[in-house]
Amino acid sequence: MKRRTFVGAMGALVFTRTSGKAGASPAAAGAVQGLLVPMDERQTNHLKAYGMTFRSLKRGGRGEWLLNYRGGSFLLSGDATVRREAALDGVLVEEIGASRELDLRGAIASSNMDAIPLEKAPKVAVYAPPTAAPWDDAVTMALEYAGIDYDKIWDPEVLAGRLPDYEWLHLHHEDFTGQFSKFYLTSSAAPWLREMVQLHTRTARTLGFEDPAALKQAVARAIRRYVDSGGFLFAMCTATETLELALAAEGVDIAAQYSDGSPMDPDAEDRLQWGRSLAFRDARLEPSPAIASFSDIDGHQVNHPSRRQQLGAFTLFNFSAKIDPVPSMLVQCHREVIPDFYGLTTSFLRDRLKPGVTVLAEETGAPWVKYIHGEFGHGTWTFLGGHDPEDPQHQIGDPATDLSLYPNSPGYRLILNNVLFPAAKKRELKT
Amino acid sequence: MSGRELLAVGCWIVTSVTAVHAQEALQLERAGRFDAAARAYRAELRNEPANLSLLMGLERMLQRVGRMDSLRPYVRRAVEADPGSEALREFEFHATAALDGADSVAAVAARWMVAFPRSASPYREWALWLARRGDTGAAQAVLATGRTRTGDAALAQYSAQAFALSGQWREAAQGWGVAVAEDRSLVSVAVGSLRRAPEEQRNAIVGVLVADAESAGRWLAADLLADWGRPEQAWTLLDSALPADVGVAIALLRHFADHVARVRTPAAARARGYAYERLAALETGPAADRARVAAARAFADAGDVVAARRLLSQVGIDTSSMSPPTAAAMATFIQLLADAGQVAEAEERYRAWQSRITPSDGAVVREALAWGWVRRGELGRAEQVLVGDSTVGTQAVMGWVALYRGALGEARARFRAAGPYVHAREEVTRRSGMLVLLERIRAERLPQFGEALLAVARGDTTDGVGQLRVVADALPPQGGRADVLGLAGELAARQSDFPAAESLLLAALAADPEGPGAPGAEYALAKVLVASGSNAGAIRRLEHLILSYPESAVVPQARRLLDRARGMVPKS
Repeated sequence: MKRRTFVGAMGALVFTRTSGKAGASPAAAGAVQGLLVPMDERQTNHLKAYGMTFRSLKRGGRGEWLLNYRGGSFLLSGDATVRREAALDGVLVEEIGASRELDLRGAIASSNMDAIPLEKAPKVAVYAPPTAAPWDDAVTMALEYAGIDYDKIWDPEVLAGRLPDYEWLHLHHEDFTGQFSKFYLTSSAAPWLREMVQLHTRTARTLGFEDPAALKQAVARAIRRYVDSGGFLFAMCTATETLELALAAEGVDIAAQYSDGSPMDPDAEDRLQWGRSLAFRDARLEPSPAIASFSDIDGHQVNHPSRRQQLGAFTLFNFSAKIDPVPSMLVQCHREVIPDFYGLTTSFLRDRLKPGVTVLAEETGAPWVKYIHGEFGHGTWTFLGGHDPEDPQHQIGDPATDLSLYPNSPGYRLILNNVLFPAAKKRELKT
Repeated sequence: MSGRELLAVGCWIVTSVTAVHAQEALQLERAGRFDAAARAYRAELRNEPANLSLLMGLERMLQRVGRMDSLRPYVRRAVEADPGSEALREFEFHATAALDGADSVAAVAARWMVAFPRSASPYREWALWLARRGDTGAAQAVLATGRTRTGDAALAQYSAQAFALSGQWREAAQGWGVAVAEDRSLVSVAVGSLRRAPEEQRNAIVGVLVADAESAGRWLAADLLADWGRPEQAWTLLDSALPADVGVAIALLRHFADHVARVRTPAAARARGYAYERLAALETGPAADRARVAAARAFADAGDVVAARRLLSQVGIDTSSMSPPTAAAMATFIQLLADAGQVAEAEERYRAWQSRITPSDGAVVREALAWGWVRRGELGRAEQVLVGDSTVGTQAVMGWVALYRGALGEARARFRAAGPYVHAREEVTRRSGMLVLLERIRAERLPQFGEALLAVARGDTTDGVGQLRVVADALPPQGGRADVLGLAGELAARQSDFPAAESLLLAALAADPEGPGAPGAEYALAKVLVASGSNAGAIRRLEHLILSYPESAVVPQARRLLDRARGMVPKS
């Protein structure tokens, strides 16, 4: 597998921060130079710490991500705005002088740690229907709570070629098979479903497609092109599985009759072309239109009464920070083991992963994994199963999660790792 | 419990030599050595191919290691070894369902039906499997066949379950109507199945059940309505469907009262009261009195003084009423009377019953009476009720009475004596806040302040707030003025008088911007601004508060409110 490498500790050693005046010479040993944002158990608000770091980069500030150092801490230039935001948001920061910084860098150099320069806040897009509230989706909730700016885009923008305007794209829990999350038969009377069907059908026709399934396949292909040309893709819940199915099913009818007017191709499974997908292979499709499950990619099958699996806990892998900085960034957390949470797609069966996919978190002993990552062309994709890390049994209609009650959520940290990792400075690829 | 779970329980109680060997496999399983455990189960199954316990162990292990395919030959051998075991047939069915497609499942089910022609189980299991896959039509066809061969009663409930699983709620209700008519013990299962129906389907379900000639359908509908938060409708329905058989009616009423007791709303309490009242009419002797007492208590919980009084008066006539439940109900009733302003009658009843009410209930009743007199403005009678009582709870109430008289020094002493542990948290917080304010005012006597607070206690907050403003103007800025203005502002905010609240809280901040009450006043002001839609102003206030008083106890609340004002978290 190819390995992306980043400017590391050596580069960081010559990175000097200033205290107050731009261009000031490095302070004497012991004088205040910058702010350490510890991300271990002592941190009082992990989620807001990401937002504070993001905004600092956006203002042109510089920073470093200290992988595996105290839970994946940040080192920021200690300007007045950062200090003010830390106080307002309740983020724990520590003033750090030159001598302490030297100690810190010594520890990083001699351990499985690394210092990754953060150079630019990525431009973030969230693929979501225009009617979606921020509280419908864990990522938008995390972005709102952390105070990270994002644009909402949907099918018209994607097909108009707007994706290259963004460095990072998150997929709302969309059903890219165009089957309205397969709730059509079981929830046909529900107003939210009727609105969803009307919106998707109208959008498909406006954009020149016969039905939502055809539209979503086109959108899925545009997203793959975006990744191929260097974009960072992050998806959760059912967007992971259905994006892959839509890509593999190019030209194959895998949608139920209620969605596109014709039943699923009886030979659909044999006609899927897994060479077109990013992460999965050889999945078996769920044929029943009444069961809100798409395939056997998902290990938990929350809506399949006879196949539903209990929730356990998943464990984050510990990567070598100096050799594998990207997976290391994606798993920075103050907890190694995190309680699992359901989604329409909760997990990914190991048997269905393509060779070369990096597993970031798994449930020990289970046939499924939780969190995966890979490269495609010049870009990368990351998939996290489940809907809401702090609402493990999420049901339609449940109240939205108030993240001010979960400022230290380890599950939400994984989401925010993904937002920040495109900010890391890249250098030439090695193989 | 499903057939499969029963099967599992049955297997655990099998005692045989195999259990010893199976123990080794179990130990390996517990140690997480799933491959080794699977090998051990396989080895034992060679000796005892039809041992279900071993077979289930092997199934568990193969699931863990992702090799379920290799279970097939063991299942086949087990059925061949003991073709007369229905438990093995059921296992074969579920293993096939997990491993193979619909055709194989159908074939296994057909063999099971032939081997056990009078059993309803193969029809039940096959139909449920089909229903879970969304193939409701096929599931219903299987159940219809099963009913012709084994009779309606055995499969009616599964037919209803299949419809419920596929969201066909009317059909499910019809099925459950038939099932509960056959077997009334199925009512709770039926409730569990139909309870999940979406809001828009519920009236239709009730309509189907009520249209049924059988009363059982109405009993089921009553339970469902209670679960869906419509307890009074539920009672009306049950009342109209009570049978002539007194024993059955009593059982139904007790069940209904227990069922609605799980919901803590006034409507549910009232429905409970009706059920107990009807029960009292059906019971005789002490049982009837107990039902009346329970009814009175339920009506008291619902805030219905008239009904509670009616029931209790019947208890008083019928018995000498020495029983503890009666006394407890009377204590509740007296509190209710006091809260409703009928303090004289409440006190009279208390005097009559005080020897029969427990000491702890008595203390609560006396406090309720004292507060009742305070709300009527009769401070002397409030003190009279409490005289001779030295409990800490009484100290606190006496502290408030002293405060209303303007005796600030005595109030301080009594609040300190009461301490922070007696009464509910809200009351303790209120008392502690007042003690802090009294420390700031320092004066020993301030009758105008007491009168202002008494007006508030009597429900005239507008007048109280006006008087507090006058009192505050007479106090030094750092000697209580800011605190009294802050209190007045919070009282005005509680009344949703946001302009007055904003003006008072701004005045409080201006009077003593660096004082200990400033963070609380600024937080209260921010809340007022959010409530009146001025989020930008609230954000400025909250940022100032957090940055200026980082050590204040209100900072965590201020941060939460700041998130809300900025729109970073959903409105709760």
